[in-house]
Amino acid sequence: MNDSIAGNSLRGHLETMVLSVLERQPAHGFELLRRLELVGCGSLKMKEGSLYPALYRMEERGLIKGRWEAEAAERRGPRRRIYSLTGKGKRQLQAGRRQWAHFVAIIGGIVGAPA
Amino acid sequence: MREELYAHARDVYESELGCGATPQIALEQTIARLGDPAALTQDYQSAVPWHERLSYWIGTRYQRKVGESRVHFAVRTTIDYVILLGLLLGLGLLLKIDQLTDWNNEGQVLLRMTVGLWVVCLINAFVFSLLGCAMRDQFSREPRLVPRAIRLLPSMAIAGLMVVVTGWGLTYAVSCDPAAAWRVLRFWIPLMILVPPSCVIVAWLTEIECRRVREWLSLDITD
Repeated sequence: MNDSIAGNSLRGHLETMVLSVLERQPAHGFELLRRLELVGCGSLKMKEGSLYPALYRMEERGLIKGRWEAEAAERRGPRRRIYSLTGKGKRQLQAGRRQWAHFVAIIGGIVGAPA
Repeated sequence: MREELYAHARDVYESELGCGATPQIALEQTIARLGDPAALTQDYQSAVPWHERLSYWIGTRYQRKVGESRVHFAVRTTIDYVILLGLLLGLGLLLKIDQLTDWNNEGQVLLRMTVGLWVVCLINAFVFSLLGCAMRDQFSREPRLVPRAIRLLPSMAIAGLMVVVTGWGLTYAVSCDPAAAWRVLRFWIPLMILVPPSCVIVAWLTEIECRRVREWLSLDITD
């Protein structure tokens, strides 16, 4: 059985997962994906380049706030953008968690799988 | 987003190298992990609103290309202004066509003002494009503050002089009276004081941004 979670299964919940990861500590995109992979035990498979449009949209909606990292002498080249959760993002995360719990309870009851 | 993607690609490449991959394999893995370029392009473009894409297009169009001379850049910029300003002023004149066809005093003043404005704006576009390039070159070539400030003085003086030329030119175009044009110049003094340092600040900020872009555009991840 293929245990990886990818495509549309992942896309619909990406926003809540990103908010959840950022709740613990601000992070840039690469670190964010690394944490998602760690917590997902390697089952989350997404095309990494598609994360940034999602982050851009979330920032436009005010759910997260980005700032460019300070330039370091030892690291030259393109900068990384560090994202942190806003108040609105925290409320959206709580709403996302409630929706997920409701989703799991309903669908779990239908398919007969434990929550 | 572009800079973020570059930074991410760099991090992925370095992590693949850290896992023991050869540079070629690390590059292939990086491309595979980032995703299909066509799908990504569509995803990125749909995320950016049209006004930001337009703003980006304008910004890149009016950026001096690598290896482009100052004069070539100034001429290219001025030609764009010729066309754009000509269209706008022409439209303005069309809206006042009744005044022009009567050819009364108001019509003459309107036409002189329009032509004068067009000529003055073109001269300003050319001169300020050159000045902008000169100022930015000073920021990129001269790291020491005092010598840089001294070398910026001629450009600032020319910028201030252009304010005088603009003020005199526009007033003369309207009044056809050189004496009146000189008298009105005192109202342009605040601009004469503000414009030169403003040009320096804009040039400085533009050079900082371009320097950052220049660095990562030349990034060679196959090293």
